[in-house]
Amino acid sequence: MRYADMTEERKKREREYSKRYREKHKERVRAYDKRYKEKHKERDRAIQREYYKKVKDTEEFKKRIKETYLKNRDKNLERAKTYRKRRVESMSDSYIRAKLAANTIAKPKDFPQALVNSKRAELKLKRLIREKKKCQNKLSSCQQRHLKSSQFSN
Amino acid sequence: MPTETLEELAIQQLKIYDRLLAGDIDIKLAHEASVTANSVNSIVRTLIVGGTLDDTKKPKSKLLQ
Repeated sequence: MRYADMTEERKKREREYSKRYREKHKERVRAYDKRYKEKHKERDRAIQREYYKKVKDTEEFKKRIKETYLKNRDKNLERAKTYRKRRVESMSDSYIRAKLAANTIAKPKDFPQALVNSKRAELKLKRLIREKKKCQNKLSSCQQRHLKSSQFSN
Repeated sequence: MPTETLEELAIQQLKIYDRLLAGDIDIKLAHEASVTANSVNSIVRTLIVGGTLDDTKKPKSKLLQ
């Protein structure tokens, strides 16, 4: 029997059975899904392209896109911020390459890995120096304040 | 371009990083080392950027034009 021809009760039972099956054979289902996606990649892309061509100029589609954008704007901005922060903190290859390529016509992939490694080491060292300097400055200002307060009390 | 030199430079910098972290050397020395490394990296970068220049593309920066 086709799913569309089933009664509501039967549909519910089928869904529950399917859910139980997927939970029980998680790995097998995941591997099958992956294989299926890989096999039908081109076909799915063609369907998507066709669909997009058909709906891209319709008012309804534009409205839906705008609504989705507005609905997820804050979440997406937050996510982008976290991603940027993580990229800077971890000093990933892409971040270093982007830094090297900034304000030049060279592309990030034009730089050899040796230069990327050297630049990363340089950045790491610079950050530590900055951190240590900050600590020193804090310490010296604390000492000065302490000295002033002790002079005042005397 | 000798990549070994750049790798050596990276290793040297990491050694200085570790020594600074352990408190074996002072900030001034580490800073000098980082400035030298920055100069070397900048020169290599400039050479690479210069090598990527061709007639079909116009550089974004006016300094490179």
